[in-house]
Amino acid sequence: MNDLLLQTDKITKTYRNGKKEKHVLNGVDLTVHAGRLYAIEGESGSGKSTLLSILAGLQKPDSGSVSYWKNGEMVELTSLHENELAVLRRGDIAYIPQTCDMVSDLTVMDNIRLVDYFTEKKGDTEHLSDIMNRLGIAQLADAYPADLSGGELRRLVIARALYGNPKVILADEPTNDLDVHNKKEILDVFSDIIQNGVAMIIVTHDQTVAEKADQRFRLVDGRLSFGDRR
Amino acid sequence: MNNNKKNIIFAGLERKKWRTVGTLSIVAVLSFVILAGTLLIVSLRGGIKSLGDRLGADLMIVPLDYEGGAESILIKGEPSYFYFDKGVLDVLSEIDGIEQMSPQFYLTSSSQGCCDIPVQFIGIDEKTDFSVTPWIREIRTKQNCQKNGCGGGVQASTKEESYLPDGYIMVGSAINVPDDNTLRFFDQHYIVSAKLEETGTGMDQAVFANINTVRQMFESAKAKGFHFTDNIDPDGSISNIMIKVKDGYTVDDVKHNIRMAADGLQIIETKNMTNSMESSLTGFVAVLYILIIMLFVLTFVILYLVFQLLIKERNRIYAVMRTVGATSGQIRGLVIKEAAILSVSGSAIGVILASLVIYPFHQYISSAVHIPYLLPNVQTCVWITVAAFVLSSFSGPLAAYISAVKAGKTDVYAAVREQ
Repeated sequence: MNDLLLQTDKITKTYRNGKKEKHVLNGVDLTVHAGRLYAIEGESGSGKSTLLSILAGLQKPDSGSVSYWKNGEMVELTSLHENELAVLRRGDIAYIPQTCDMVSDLTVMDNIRLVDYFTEKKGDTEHLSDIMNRLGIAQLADAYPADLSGGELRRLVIARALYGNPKVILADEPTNDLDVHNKKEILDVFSDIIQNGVAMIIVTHDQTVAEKADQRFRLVDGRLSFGDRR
Repeated sequence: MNNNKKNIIFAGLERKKWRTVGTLSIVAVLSFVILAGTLLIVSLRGGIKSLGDRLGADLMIVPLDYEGGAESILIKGEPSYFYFDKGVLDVLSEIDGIEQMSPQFYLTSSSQGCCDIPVQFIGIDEKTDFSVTPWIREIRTKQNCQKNGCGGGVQASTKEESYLPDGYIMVGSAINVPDDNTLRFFDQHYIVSAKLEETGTGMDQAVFANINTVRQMFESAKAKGFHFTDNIDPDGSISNIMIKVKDGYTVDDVKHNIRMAADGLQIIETKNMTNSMESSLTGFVAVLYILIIMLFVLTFVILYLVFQLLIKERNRIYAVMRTVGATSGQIRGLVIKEAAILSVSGSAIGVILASLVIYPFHQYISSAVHIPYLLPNVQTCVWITVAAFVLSSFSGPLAAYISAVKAGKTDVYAAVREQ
């Protein structure tokens, strides 16, 4: 399964703080295919998270383009309105942030189906149940985020991302703060997801995670260079 | 597993109970004050107008220095009595500028064993009366309609008919009438032929009868040894003369003429009575409006601060919602809806509480304020209640609007990156 899903063309991004400028991305080209795991590595502050947020449509690049193939048709993400990007994030492109922020007033189950609060679609309880079972958090359905451990919260964040049946998952340090056992379980879940045709891009410092990737990249001086390929 | 999705707004309100209760309370106070204050103003204005309408007279003549007594009866509903020689009527009949005049005779009952209740008696001369009789005629007409049906229109009672034969009384709206429709005064029983409509004035605590009936009560009281009847000849005395000024004459003209013709009389301009009350009311109304405005501003400021804090608290959550596909408009909508739920609920509570105080206890309020107080009709009350509810309900969304816009404009990436 090598269908093209996402492609960037010379995207740049500069952060300005008064007179200071930091060129975080200097012409990044990236091609993402379905059913593959990509790992982006680099030093802290190299722009990895920025790149991920641009791919998710949470920020616009200063120049360059990001294209997404939806049902075979190309959509130029950089020209979409903010509301159109939001619609894409409901079901096509899932973003897993580094932090595990949850709506503390809602149960674990309601946090996973958070997107249902913003769509007209009726929720799929069977699908929800399936995701919770896959991630081993079914027994926590009626618990609240405050009652969960760090590992359980990580699973919850991933479950929330999977609920929308995305084609592309963008995960920023998804195995942060996890012990070896939890990390392995999460990586197994990622493998299952990939095998179902989902493309996954992980930003990570963790070598054990990066080693699982089909394609590794390094972001240095705002440019993406190929790392090892599996 | 509970398959029903929890409402995101109610979930938040439930978890922050004290903030929710506090916000509800502020809005409830606002709506309470708006409703209670407005009803108070409208009722006081209505009472004063009702007094003017019911009096029907331009001038009242009472004994010298008894203006306070007349006001006690008409405004406060405090029983009082005073008399002067009815020969004054003959003197006044010669004066230019008087279109109509009619005497009244006052008496008070007692709370002692002789009488069922302490009240003010107002005896009227049915042949000449023009202030109470139209009022009584309205009631009689309505009673006839209820009894005989009115067909295509209200049947007017004939002018020749006596509305208050000897031994019959009509009572003000605040007087409770037993089931047998009689009241006992000075050990004599009198038949209650009708209960008058509420006026919001002291007349609601009065009993009306023809002058002969009241003079008979006077004799009964004398027979019972009540000292307030000493040295008075009821047949030769009156308490008050109601005067209507002829067209073409001013009230001042007639007052001057009366002063020239007779002394020892207090001449009361009824317009002054209501004007002075209106003046006191104007000051009170201004203060109340200022209070309401200040309260609205205070509520607005407090709600604004509450929602600003709330947005700051939830900044990352709103950002997370945006990452899963919420639009900025939907985030704004969540904030406004929460504000609307709080302010609508708070308004409802305030309006209900104010209604529970004002409507059942309006008679008590009426007697406590010592100014004519007449609750408006049902339709007006409903409109005022709805207006108070709507005005207060807007306070939340208005106050939260700026915060809502800010929440919708959150820099999502920056927010989710915050540690």
